[in-house]
Order: sequence, then C-alpha cells, then structure tokens
Amino acid sequence: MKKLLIFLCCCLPITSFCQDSYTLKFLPQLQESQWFNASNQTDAKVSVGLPVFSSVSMYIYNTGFSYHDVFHRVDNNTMGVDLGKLIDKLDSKNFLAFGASVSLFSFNYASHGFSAGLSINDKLDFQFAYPNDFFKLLWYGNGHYIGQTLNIGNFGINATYYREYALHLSKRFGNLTIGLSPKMLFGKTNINSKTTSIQLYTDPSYYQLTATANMNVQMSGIPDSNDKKDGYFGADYIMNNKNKGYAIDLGAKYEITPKLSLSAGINDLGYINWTSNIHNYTAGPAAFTFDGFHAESFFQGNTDIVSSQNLTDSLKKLIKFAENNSSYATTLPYNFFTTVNYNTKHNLFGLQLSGTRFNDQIIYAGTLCYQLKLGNHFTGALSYTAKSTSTFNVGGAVILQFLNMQWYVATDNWWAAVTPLDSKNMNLRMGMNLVFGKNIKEEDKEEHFDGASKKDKFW
Amino acid sequence: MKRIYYFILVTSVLGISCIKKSDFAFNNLKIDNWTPDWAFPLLNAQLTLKNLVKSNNVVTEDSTGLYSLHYDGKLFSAKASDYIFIPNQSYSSGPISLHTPLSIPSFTGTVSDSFSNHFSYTDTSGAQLEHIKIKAGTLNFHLASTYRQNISLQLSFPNIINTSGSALNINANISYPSSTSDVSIDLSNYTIDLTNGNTTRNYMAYKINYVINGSGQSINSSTDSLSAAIDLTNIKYSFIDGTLGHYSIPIPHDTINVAVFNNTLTAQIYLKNPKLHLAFANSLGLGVSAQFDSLYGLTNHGVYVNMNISPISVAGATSIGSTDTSNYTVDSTNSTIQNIFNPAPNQVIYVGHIDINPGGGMPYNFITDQSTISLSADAELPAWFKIIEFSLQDTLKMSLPKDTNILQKAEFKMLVNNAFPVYASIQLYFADSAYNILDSLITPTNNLIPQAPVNSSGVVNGSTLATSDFIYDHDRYHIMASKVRYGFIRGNLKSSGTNSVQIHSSDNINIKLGFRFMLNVSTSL
Repeated sequence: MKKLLIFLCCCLPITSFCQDSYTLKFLPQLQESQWFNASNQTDAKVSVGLPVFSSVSMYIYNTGFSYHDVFHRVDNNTMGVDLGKLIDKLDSKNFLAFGASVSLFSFNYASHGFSAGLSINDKLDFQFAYPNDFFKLLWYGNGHYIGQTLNIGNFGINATYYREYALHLSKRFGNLTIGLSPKMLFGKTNINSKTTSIQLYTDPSYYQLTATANMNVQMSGIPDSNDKKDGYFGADYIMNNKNKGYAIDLGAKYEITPKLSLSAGINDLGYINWTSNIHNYTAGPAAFTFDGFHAESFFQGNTDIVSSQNLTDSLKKLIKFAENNSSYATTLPYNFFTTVNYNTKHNLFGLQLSGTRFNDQIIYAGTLCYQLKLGNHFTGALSYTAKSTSTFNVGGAVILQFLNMQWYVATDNWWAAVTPLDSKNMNLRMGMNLVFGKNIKEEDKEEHFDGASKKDKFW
Repeated sequence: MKRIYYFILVTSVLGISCIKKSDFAFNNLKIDNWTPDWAFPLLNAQLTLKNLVKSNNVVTEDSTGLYSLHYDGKLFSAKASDYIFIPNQSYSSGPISLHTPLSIPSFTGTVSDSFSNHFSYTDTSGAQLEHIKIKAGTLNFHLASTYRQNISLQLSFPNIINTSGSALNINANISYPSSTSDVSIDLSNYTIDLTNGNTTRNYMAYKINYVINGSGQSINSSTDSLSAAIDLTNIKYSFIDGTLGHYSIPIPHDTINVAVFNNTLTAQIYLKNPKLHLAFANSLGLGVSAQFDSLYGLTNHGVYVNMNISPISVAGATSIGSTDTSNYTVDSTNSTIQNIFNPAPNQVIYVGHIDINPGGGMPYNFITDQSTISLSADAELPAWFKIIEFSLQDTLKMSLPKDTNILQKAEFKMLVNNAFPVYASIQLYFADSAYNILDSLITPTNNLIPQAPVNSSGVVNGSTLATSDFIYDHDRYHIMASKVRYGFIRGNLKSSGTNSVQIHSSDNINIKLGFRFMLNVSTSL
C-alpha cells in the first residue's frame, strides 16, 4: 500500500492536462502542433505518423496538492502529516485528472500556404473531482462547522475514452491563415457524474445532523452482468461506433509584420452522444435528519433503539439509486487560446493566453516560450506557464530531425522533473514523424513586408 | 546554447536524484495538529409516564386522563390439605361376649354370634364430618380372644364403600392356642359416610360376625370374650365435607421491597387517595377471615409507618372445583394507608393468618386435596401527589479510564422541555476511596429538569425549556481521573406549585441530548 502511495505521489507531476499542450502550440514544425492550433502549418511538405510511434502523450494534473503539501520531512527517520495545511490550500472543489492519447495514424500535406491532414487518435481523459469540505470534515470534524453546511459528497468522476477521426485543414489568405479541424468521434466508455451532491449540516441546537443527497451518474460502455451475458466486450467494445460525436477546432493567424504574428483559436468544440450500454444511476434529491436515538421504549427494556440498524436503513433510503438507460450527451473539455509570436532568424519569442474548461471551471493559463533553432536538425524550446491553479511550470521541447525522421519530446512542466515532490502536474508528449520535402510557403515566393527577408523567417 | 541544454539535462537528473528515501519514511509517520472536533445528537425522546415506568407495571388512565400506577403481586397462597388433616383414629370395641350363655367343660361344637356398634370420628378442631373420600390410608385391625377355641370373624363397615359400591369387610381367624389376629387394609379409594343415613355426623357404624369352633377345651361365656381394636392411620383425603371445625392458616411473615425508594435519602410524599386492592381466590368450600397481624412500612432509616386493616371476611367456593374471588379495597376510609408514603418506605412488611369458620356454628364446609386460598395485592398509586421532600442517592463503584491525552474535551448539551408537574436537579459526584468528593459532572446549579407551570388543580398548563451544557476538559479530568473510586448520583425531585399535582396522559418530557468531543490524535504511527 505504501509503495502504491509512493508511486501515485511520484506520478503526480510526471505525466498535462486535458490533452492541452501549451508549449506544443509554439512548435508548428510538428504536424501534432496543428492538433492544438488549427492555423499552424508544418515545415515539411508531407508528414506521416505511424501508429503509436508518432505521438504518445500522457498527463496528470492535480489542482489540490503536491506530495510535499501532504507529507513533510521531520527528520531523517520521520515523516510528518499535517492535513490542516493541505486543507488550507485546497479550493472548495479540486480535481485530479490524468489521461493519455495515442495516435493510430496521421498524415499531413502542406504546400503553398495550404495544409491538409488526417489524424486518428485514441484518447482517454479521467477527471476526479474532490471537495475540500470532505477533508475538512475528516480532519477537523463537524464540530468546527456547527451551523454551517459542508459539501462533503460532491465528488465527481468524468472519464471518457473515445476515438477521434480528425481532418486538419489550413489555408493562408494573404496575411491571414485560417484553420479548421472537423472531427468525428466514436465514444467507447464514459462515466459522467452529472450531479453529485451530499451536504451535511450540523444544527447548533443539539448537533442534529441533516444530510441531503442528489446524485446523477451516467455511464456508457461499462457492461454490467447482463451485458456480459449478452457477450458484449472485446471486439464489440473496441469497434463500437454507436456513440457518435462531432467536434471542431478553429484557428486563425494574422501576420502583423513578418516577425510579429497574432493567432487565436478554439479546440474541441463538440460533443459525444452516448447511446450504447447505458446505465444511469440517480438518487434524490432526498434529505435525512438524524436527531438522536428515540428512546421512548428504552425503559420498557427495548435496547433496539440504540442499534445502528434504523440509522443504516435511513441512510440507505437517502442514497437509494434508481437506474435508467436513457441516452445522454457529454461535451468535450474545450479550450481557447490566443498567441503572439515574434520571430527572428533563429529565435522565437511567444506569449500565449489560454483557457480550458475543466469540469465546470475554466482554468486560465499564461505561457511564455522561447524557441531556438540550430540548423535544420535541432530545435529546442523553453516555456514558462502560470496557471490559475499552478503558478510555476517550466517546460520545454526538443525536436531532432534527420533522415526524414522527426523525433520530438515536449512537456509543459519540465521543472516537475527537478522537484517532483513539490509539483502538481506534468505532461509529456513524444513521438516520431516521417517527414518528406519542404513546405513552400507563400511568403517564400513573395515578399509581403518591406525590410523583412525570408531568411529571417523562422517558418 | 548547448550549455543551456546540458544545464536542463543535468538539473533534471539531479532533481530526481534529490528525492530522498527519508521522503518516504512511512514507518515512522507523525500526524501533526490533528484535533478533530465531533458533534452529534445522542438522544431525542418524548416521554410520558407510561414510557418511564417499567413494562411490568401497569399504568391506567381514568376518564380525566389521570394516570395511576399499579404494582401487583401474589402475597400468599396455601393449600388446604397442608393445614387441614385427618388425624389418626383409634377405636376399640370393648369385650364382646356371646349373647347366649354357654359353659361346657370340653367344647367341640360350633357356635355363631354377631355384634353391632359404631365408632365416632374425633379431632381437636371440633370437626363434624359427613364424608371422607380417602386418597391413601390404612386400617389396622387387631382381634384378641380369651376363648380357648378357634375363631372365625368378619368385621363389616357398611358405610365404608369402595368405588364398586361394596362395603368394607375384614376377615380374621384365630386358631387356638393363638389368641390374636392382625389384619391391615389399604383404604385407598374408599369413601367413609359418617352421616348414618343423613341423620348425624362423625358416625362410623360397624358389625362383627363370628363363629366359635370348639377345640375340646372348656368354654365359658361369662368369662371368655373377643375384643376388636381398629386404627385408621395416615389418612389422606381427596375430599371431605361437613363442618371442618376451626383452623388457622398462617400468612407468613414477608417483605415487599419498594425498589424505587431503596436509595432514598429523604422522602416525604403526600399521595392522594392511594389504594390497596386485595383479592382472595378461595376454592375451599368454606368462609374464612383474613387478618393482618402486622402491616407496616419501614424506611431505610428504620422509621415505621403502621397501616392498620380490619379483619377481612372471605367467602368460600360454592361447588367443588369452583373458586370464589373476594375483593377488598384498603383505602383511607378503612385504614391509615394514606400515610404509607410519609415517609416513603423502601420495605412493606406483613404477617397474618386466615381463620377457618371464624364465626362458629355448624356451617356446611367442603374441601378437596386441591383446594387453595390465595391472596394477591394491587397497589394503586394515583399520580396525584405532592412531593414535600424527595432526595435519592446512589453510590457506584467507579474507575475512570486512564488518561490518554486523546480526549481533550467532552461536552454534553441537554435540552429538556418539561411538561410534567415535577422538576428535578441531578448531579454526579466523583469521590475518592475515602468517599471525599473530588469533582462533579454537572456544572449548572439550576434544575436540569425545569419546573413546568401548573394550574390550581395541579395540572400542567404549559412547558418549560432548560438548556444545560456539561463541559469537561482534559485538565479537570487529568487531576481527578486516577483518584476516582466512587460516584454518587444525587437527585432532588419536587412537585410544581404549592398544591398536589396530577400527572395526566398528556404530560410529557422531551429530552434532547447532544454530545461533542474534541480529540488530540496527533501522534506517531
């Protein structure tokens, strides 16, 4: 158990978040960059991504705490836990998210200011929401919150595994580049805790406890025993195309000067309609008040009044799930961004402001990025991102290109590798594309801007 | 620029390598500043008088809703056959001579004769019996002869009949030179009719027929005779009737514990119209008189309170197998029971007796071996009283759990909404081995159960809410915990207003109790 705990804690920062990649938007030479900024165009004329090899990404993100927020070293032999300090750092609602994405195939063609590509990705996103009040209750007890309502049960799980078929189209119109990526989605599994609310109120009169519950959990693609009897699993699951969804990425870039450009976009604007193997569970809204054991018959020798059976029965009624099989729809966790890039011959300076919908919140982030290109074979990038839930994230990327192979690795929080026990998040995307030819860009043919040489262009 | 990337690579490796084993020293985990404070409700009870008394006690309600408590029990039960006996009887016929004079020097002939008479049943009770159905017993017959002849004799009891309707006949023989003969007869299932044809009582007729066979010896009727001796021994009856005489069946000395007053320090309660309902169940076919020779209450301080009751006449059963019940109510009109709770006793002591046929005369009685007389009592205590003074104290052996520093503070919050016409203060004292009080649990000195308003009739016409907090912190506990050996629970109960109060079915007390405790579980695991 301890090993598992250690492993989980160490994993916190190692692997970003909602498939978002702050640094990757500043790396247009990768076809994967177009998946996050639809107006980006690659340097290569043709880019091919082989299954799995071209792009594998993982992320883990915890808005609440790092390892050292929970455990601190007292001396060489003793670890200390002070959950009070941790609780002070938690928001009313906190999230633990992890996920992965594997590219099954990708292809991109870019030439003369036009880019078209196709990508097939399997994506897994798992978000677990946990309330601060739950930990407050465990650590401080309800005696600290007499006369107050604690939201102890608004835990949430939103997990989605789906396959994404995306077209990536981008076209330059003078100084303006427009990109769009329509997507067709096929959901495999989804758990969507639409409503999860358990509130606890401690009455100051003599500490009566009132609990209210309202829960609605939707699930698709998780077979129950009946589904298994019907033989639903395996190939049926992998090839399931009943849960259809649609999404689109939109992007635009405007070159103010040859060195200075401004871009903006929105990604994952869409939904999945879940229709197969639906198991929805609802409970409440219901309320239950425990006002003490009713001892009217105690003096008659009835000691059952202090048994916990009545209490247990009432709690069972409070959270009594009803099941239905109604289809439902979930939206993707969209994100939006705007970037400003300044290019020199070998350098790029970038600023990005972005927001990502995470559960029912928007996580805002600001990213500064510096990129250095050394010849045709090596590109390095260094980024700093400040998010509304994590202010210090130093990331970067390395791209090595040779023999028509384009190796890359990118992360938004490399610093987590330096201080893993103090980090809340990290992501990593890596892979290898096969690249052929060189994208002939419009500006390579025509000089649009006085005083700006095409050699000064980074891309 | 390469330097920059070398720097990045090196710091990454160094950073990860900076993770120390001690960062995961979970074998020695210290939990800091964990002082949870928990609060929850313990009790919420709306209690009427019916809820407060034990279920084996009966609570009745009259038409006005006034409650009465009933404490019932069986005081005494006696079986008639344990007290009314058939004593052993011994009868003798006296010398029986031939009616016809006969004197022969050498008698070889045969002569027959007979003799009739009766025995009279007697005992010390003066009983005049008509019938005795015998369940067990023995008749011993001893025949003696002064004749120097052979004797053949039959003793007949025409009124001792077996279940077949045959009279009891006993044969005895004497062969000279023997001069006696003894015969024993089992009298089980015989019935003795002592009425001589419904003309008298205690009358047991018999007849002797005998034959003298000559032995060649001389015979002289003026000097020779026979004699019969009859003993009835160990007679157990299944039924007797007639007039059974005078008996006294004792009501043994006994004590009724009034548990509620066991721990009374002081108790002066004026109870309005208490009653003691006595119920005699009598299956004896005879009237009796019950008399309590002594009936009094005794407090645990040795105070006697006498309650005088006149002798009680109890009717008998009218037929075999039936039971007649006689009820008698002891109240303030025929006794001094009014004072029984002033002061309240924790013991009621009684002794007495039951007289059979106390009035004399010759009444007809009957009993069987199953006839019983029993006495049960129902003490009816109307919930209409005035408590002048009522204090209870109980002492408990007590040892408090060792101080672990975990429990920092405990708090009981009690809300009592009282709509009973009594109010109370309660305290738990902690004492050392020498009974010195070290501390007390309840800090408020006001009444835990507040006084509810009553009207001029003593009926509650409102309710009063009292909130009490009992807080006990670690420091107080730490000082006394190791010394505590005893606990004194002391309660003082009073009735509302200045007059007697009534507890009605609508009266109730609502007790709500919450418990809050703060722990310090900061520790090393």
